[in-house]
Amino acid sequence: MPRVGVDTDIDVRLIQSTPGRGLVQVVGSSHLESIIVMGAGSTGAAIAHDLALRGYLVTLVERGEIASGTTGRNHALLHSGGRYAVKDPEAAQECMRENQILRRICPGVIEQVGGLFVAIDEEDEAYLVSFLVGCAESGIPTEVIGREEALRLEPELNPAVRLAVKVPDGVFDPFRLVASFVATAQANGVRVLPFCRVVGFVQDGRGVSGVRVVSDIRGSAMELKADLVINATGPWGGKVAEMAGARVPVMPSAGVMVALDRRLSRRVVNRLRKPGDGDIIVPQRATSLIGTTSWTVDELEPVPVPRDHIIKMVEEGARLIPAARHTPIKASFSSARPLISGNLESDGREVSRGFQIFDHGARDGIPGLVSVSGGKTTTSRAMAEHVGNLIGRLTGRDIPCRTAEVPLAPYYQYRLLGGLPEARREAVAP
Amino acid sequence: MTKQAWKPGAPALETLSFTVRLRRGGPWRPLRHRWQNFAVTVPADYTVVELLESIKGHQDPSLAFRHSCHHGSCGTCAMKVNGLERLTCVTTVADVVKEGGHLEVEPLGHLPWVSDLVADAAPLFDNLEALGPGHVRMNGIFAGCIECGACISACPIGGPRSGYVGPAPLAAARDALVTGQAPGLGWGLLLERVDGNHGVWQCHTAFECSRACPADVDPAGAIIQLRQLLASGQAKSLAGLAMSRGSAPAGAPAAGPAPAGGAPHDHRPRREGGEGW
Repeated sequence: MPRVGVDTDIDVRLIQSTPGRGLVQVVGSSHLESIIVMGAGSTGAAIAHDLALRGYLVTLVERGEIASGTTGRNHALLHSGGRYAVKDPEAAQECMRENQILRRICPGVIEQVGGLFVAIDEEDEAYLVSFLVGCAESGIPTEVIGREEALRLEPELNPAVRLAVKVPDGVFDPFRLVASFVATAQANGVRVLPFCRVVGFVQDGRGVSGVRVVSDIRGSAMELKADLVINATGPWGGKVAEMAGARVPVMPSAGVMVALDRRLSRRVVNRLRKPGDGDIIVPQRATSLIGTTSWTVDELEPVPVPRDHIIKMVEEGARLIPAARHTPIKASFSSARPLISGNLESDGREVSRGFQIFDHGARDGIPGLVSVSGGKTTTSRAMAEHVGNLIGRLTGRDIPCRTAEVPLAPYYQYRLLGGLPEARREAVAP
Repeated sequence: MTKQAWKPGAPALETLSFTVRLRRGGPWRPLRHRWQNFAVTVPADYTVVELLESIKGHQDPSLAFRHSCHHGSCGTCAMKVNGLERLTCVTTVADVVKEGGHLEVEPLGHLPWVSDLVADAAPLFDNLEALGPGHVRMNGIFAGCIECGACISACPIGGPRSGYVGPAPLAAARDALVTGQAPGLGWGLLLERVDGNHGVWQCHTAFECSRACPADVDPAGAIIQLRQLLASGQAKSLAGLAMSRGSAPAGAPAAGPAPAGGAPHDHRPRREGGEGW
């Protein structure tokens, strides 16, 4: 693929990002094609990291702070796959695989506390066998424990609990997980531009050869050129693709979560039954997150938080841990999942469970633009691997993915101003 | 006022109409700074960050502010609201505005200003990394300090530019000492910085940091405890003890006499052995 010309304002190929912090892991000595990734949620951050490790020259643009959209407001559940074990073994296997990889590459942002699936009534108990079979088939280790043991491990569980199953669920810190991906990407030369809104595309005919952005730090517009542009903007994906005349059938699907102002359990507590509304409590830091619901929304700023959903979450949560009803609510919030609507023909090999990758060159005759949408944070690294493989094919290179092995930098090495020149970094607000 | 205040059957929640005054501009912008007013009508239980989202979505897409988790655990959304440091995701509009009144939002002070309501927490991270015990993790669980920067903004001494180590990093140093978990800098340099010109003795004990802290870390209490440990010579023996036995495993009981005010984070669940997976 030919390289494109020099930018009008900033040449993404000439400006180096943060000086390395002893973590440079880039393969090869020269940079390959230049790629712009739009969106620094878990998907975009993981893609930037993946592509940097493969040696591409990457710029990551994000309209706000990293992880300020769907990822930041997620349930913080590091899935073991248990929730999908019965209905969707492929997703369950992928979760289990990625769960183990994330524990290995970024243990510093994960609370490795484990999880329980608890049976409260007869119906739950009847679900046990299919649950255990599903987990076994997906390679998820389980251990059935009795009522006494369950209450010993989690004293605040509903005393009506009949039995529980231990699974390797975990809890991650969404912001810090993304910050780890971004910090590693920065150390590997990725230029990260937060507070940088994409307002249009640079197009030669139909093909995309860059993006037009407005930086809310500089207060000015810029044109960034690149060989390829990746749209990883989650629920905004449809609107962003539209600016280039491409179509991504993403339907923002909101979910309400309620954060109680106390940690009610050490472990993640799931209801042992088919996944439904409000059947999980994730203890995160000093809070307990009950979730969630699901309905389609148009409004993303802010995503609405219907009151009846809040009440429902507390009621459902109290079935698992009765103290939920009497614990003050610290916050209630919504985030919008990027649900792919309809049963669309996707791009062959790159399809994986729960997310889709759209090569707009092949689909819509708009070369240079790739969109990715759907998925979950637990599997963001795997999504990035699939995207990286597609980029490899588009650029005619066969560079293996290394993200499953390379440890991530600590989250606190992420630098908000990493992509800006040194001057003026010391000014404080008047 | 929080969102659970509303119960089924209660009348619909009121909306509030008022003017929000926001600090705009930044050091990289052509126009360095100004105040800008926005007239808004929002539900009274909107949080300040939801209000800012709504202004960004419907009035001015260029408004820059940090936010992520929306439940007070990531620490990104701390700002000055009507002059006081607040986590804007757990502060409702009704908490801070009266009908027809004003609401003023500014970035945190003492930290590098980035743009509009955004301040850069990087200097805080650097000091925490240097002095904290494995950073914010305690007993395998994220606890305590959420690294929001509110304490630094509220501190009358000034920010990292003044050289002062700062409230949160000093609280982290206290945690390192009493838990025996090695700080990034190592024990020798930790004592040097904590006991040095820009360490605990620079604090004016104004307690503004503890007032501002949304995570109940009580940095001022930690600073006072550190002074006692330093003055009595216990700090040295704690550090020496930790050094001689290497870094204690997470969750080990605090060495030495029980520190005043109890061990840090003692309200958190304790580690009860590895999960096995």
